[in-house]
Amino acid sequence: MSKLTGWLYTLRSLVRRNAADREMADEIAFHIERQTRKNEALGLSVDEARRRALQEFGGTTRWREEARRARGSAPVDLIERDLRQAVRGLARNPAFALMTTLTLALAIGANAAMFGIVDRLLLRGPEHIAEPEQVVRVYVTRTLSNGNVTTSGLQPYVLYRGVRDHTSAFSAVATYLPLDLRVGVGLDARLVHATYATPDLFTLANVHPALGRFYTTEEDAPPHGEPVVVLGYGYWQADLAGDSAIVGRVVTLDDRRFRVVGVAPRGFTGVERAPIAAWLPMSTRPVDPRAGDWTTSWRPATPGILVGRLAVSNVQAAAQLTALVRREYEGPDKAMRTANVRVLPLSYDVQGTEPRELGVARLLAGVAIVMLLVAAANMTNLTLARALSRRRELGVRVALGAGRWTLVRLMILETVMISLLGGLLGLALAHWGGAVVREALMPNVAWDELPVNGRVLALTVAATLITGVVVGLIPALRVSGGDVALALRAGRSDSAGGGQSHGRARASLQVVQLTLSLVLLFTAGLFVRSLRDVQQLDLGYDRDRVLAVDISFPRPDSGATSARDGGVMANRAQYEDLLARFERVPRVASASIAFSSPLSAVNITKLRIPGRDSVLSGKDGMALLVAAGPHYFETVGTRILRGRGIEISDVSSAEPVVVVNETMARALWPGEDAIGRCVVLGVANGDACARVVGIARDVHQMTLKEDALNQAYVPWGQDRRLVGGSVMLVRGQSDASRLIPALTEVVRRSAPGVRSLQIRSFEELLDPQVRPWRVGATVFGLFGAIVVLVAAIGLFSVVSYLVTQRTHELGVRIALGARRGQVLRLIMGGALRTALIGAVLGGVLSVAIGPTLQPLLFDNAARDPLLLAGVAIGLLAVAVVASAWPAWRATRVDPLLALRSD
Amino acid sequence: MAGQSSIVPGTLEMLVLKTLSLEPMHGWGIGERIQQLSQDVFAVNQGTLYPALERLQRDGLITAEWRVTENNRRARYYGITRSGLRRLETEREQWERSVRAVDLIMRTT
Repeated sequence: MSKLTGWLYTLRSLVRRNAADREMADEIAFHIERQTRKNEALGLSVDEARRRALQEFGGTTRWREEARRARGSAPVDLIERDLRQAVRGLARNPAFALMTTLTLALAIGANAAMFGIVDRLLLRGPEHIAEPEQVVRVYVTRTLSNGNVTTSGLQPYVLYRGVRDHTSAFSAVATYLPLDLRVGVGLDARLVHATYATPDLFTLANVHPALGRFYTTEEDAPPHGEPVVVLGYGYWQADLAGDSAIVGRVVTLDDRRFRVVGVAPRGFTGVERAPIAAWLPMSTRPVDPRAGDWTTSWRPATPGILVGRLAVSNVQAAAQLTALVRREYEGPDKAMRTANVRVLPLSYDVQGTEPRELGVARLLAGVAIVMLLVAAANMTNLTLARALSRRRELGVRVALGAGRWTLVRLMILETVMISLLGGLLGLALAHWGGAVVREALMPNVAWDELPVNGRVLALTVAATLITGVVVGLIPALRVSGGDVALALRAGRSDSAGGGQSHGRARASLQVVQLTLSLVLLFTAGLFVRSLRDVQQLDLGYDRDRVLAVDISFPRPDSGATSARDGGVMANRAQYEDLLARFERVPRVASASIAFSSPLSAVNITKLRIPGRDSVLSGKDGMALLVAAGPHYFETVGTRILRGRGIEISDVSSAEPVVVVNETMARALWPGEDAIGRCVVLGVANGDACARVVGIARDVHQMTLKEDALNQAYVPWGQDRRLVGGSVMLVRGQSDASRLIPALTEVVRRSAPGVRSLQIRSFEELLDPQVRPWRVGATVFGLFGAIVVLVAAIGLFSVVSYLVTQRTHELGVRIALGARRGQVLRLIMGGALRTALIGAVLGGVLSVAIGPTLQPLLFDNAARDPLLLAGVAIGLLAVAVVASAWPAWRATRVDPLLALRSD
Repeated sequence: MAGQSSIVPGTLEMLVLKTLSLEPMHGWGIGERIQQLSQDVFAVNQGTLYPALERLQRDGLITAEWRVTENNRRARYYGITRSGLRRLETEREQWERSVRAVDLIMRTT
């Protein structure tokens, strides 16, 4: 208890420190007064009595101090005094304070922002998942007969059941499949992220519902589960106003009705990162009954992602699962008999690779640390220079009785104050910039609400304090270690005593800065070039001119006799009506329609050539099939190399025709003219032979990087299987995205009953693939610019400092007849030598880290001598400019003034 | 003032507590009272009183309040708390034990 009251007492006296001091003074005054009166009573004169009283007390100041110390507030007083001194010291040199604070703020801000991102993505795992490193996804790797190795993260339900029931690899295992569901109707309809999952996903995550309950294994019993749903917390809050009576009600998702049984806990995203609006039982997925029993098939149309919490080591788990797959597989795929199962952490995607965004984020975090090092090196350098110029002042302080420790403390206090200020500013930057970077890099992740959370704050405070102490400690120890008397005796311009070693320390710090600057600039350059290459990449169509209008019409009345055909025909009429209206919109160049056009879907068909004996194998026997309407090629901007495209006359009653791409023409009819040939698309015997009427350029169907495949375009009007789910394409005369409001208005007026409408440009559809490079180029460029700026300012300040230090010497030289050029060389020589060493080392380092960067770049080599040389020359130019100004000032030194100044 | 000596080291706080257990008192008065009670054997080093009073306050053994003296002057009066009284008791026992012990040693011939 006494300890607590003691603390409280100290605290109270701290809070009312001034009042306490005043009271103490009053009290002592009273004491002296009484003692004086007592002495007077003994017969002394008034003055003598007072003098005696003071003497008897023994120094009022001393005892007042002692009493204050007893109150426990003395150390704080001391700190306050030191702080005041430090503030005064910094205020004497505001340029130094401002510069170091700003550079440090940028570096610390970058670190805080990037740590927040990397922490969320790599260190902590998805929210609510305890021990995320124990949770893995299951991948099956097969070696195909042609030697290719493929890895898939999509597994059949039968494997999930096998793993669950017949292995001990996992303490909990679940299968799930994310997808987009439509909520709402008509033009207001929108897509939300949802997930089909077996209920053991909740067990695996060990979460509890925020409301109601999760669905049960009985409700998720195959083949047809109960139509129940667990809503995501965010969706429940935003779209249903957090209605607590929601449990038991029915919601409509994708035109199907689901009964709400509960609400998932806040922030729960399963083992993925994107916010989820609805959790549905795995067995409520729509399945095509013709595809066979999805629960027993090894190649079902609807697989899922398999995730488990390890009960054994990951090697043992992989071994158990490999044995299971090889033993249990039933089917024609021989490669499955030798398949290998791998288990990989959650940071890997469905293809079993680490997403590029993650690599970029990690690299950026590394770069942020480098930035902090550069900023710290710079600050150390400036502090050192400043400390050396203060040697005389420090010498005086020591002579007046300040201990070495006091000096060190004072200098560290200054740098800590700067770094704290920088840290504060940095947090503000991180709050703002972190939000920007994470949205730019990965918009579909359920991020923490604030970019600066407790963990980020803790790291920032630690980094800030460490930086402040280390940066202050080095110069403080160096300077305070010297002979004080020497410093005092020496003149102002002294730099001889230990100047050599200080100079070397300064130079090496600068070399470090310049080296790192060069590496950063080089990396930024590589990313900029990747971005440019990606943007200029010829995909086979125009990406900035074309809009994809994804529209879905209501299903036709089920009462119709042949609903299927009738529906398709009804839809076709609606599509054609809208197309005609789109074409009349001002600034629309052309409009067309397609089933599985680029960036919307992939539709693969088998093919055969009548009369040819050899069976087409592998890639040659298949083609990406696109059903294209009239004007399709000119609308998307794919060139027809020979023959013609699809025309209005290509209707179902006309002769079946097909347009093939270059690759297909070459593969099927090598060395011959493909035009006029005949090819059967599809496998059914009744499929008619289609005549090749044109050859089109190869296009990228879905991704920026893909091998050319056979592509076949059939008339949209000829194949009625390929109509529902078509996408309309609109080409604008200029920037297409400006047409979106006009097109939306057309739909609103002429087809108000549509179930959903989504209009996006090809550019937008490609954006997720371009994003890593864009963010990489932007952020690296920004970081690079900051670091170069810091290095330039550092160089400038140090050269300026050197000039000031050598004013006397320069004066002598000039007095003795040194020419301006000689002085310039003298001053700049050192700086340029430093820059040159930095550039060379940076070049070596850049080449060395090439292999690390390679996977993050787009197709281009990480070794680019031209870029490297350019960056190095640029950096040297910056060094010249930064040192030339102070060096020029040196040539203006007035010899008389310089000589007299001491 | 011949015959006066400083108080025994380490006993100042006990003596202050003892004084205050008789009646609340201001700083100067405490010094005077100690001197008086010791029949002028001990002279309190006056300055040392105030740090000691702060320490005792911090430990919650005494409290302080501003009051008006009989001469109409404002002065800070100190009073002993209940834990102060308990502390005084233990200090007194300890003191007596050590005095007896010292006595025993000194009597040994």
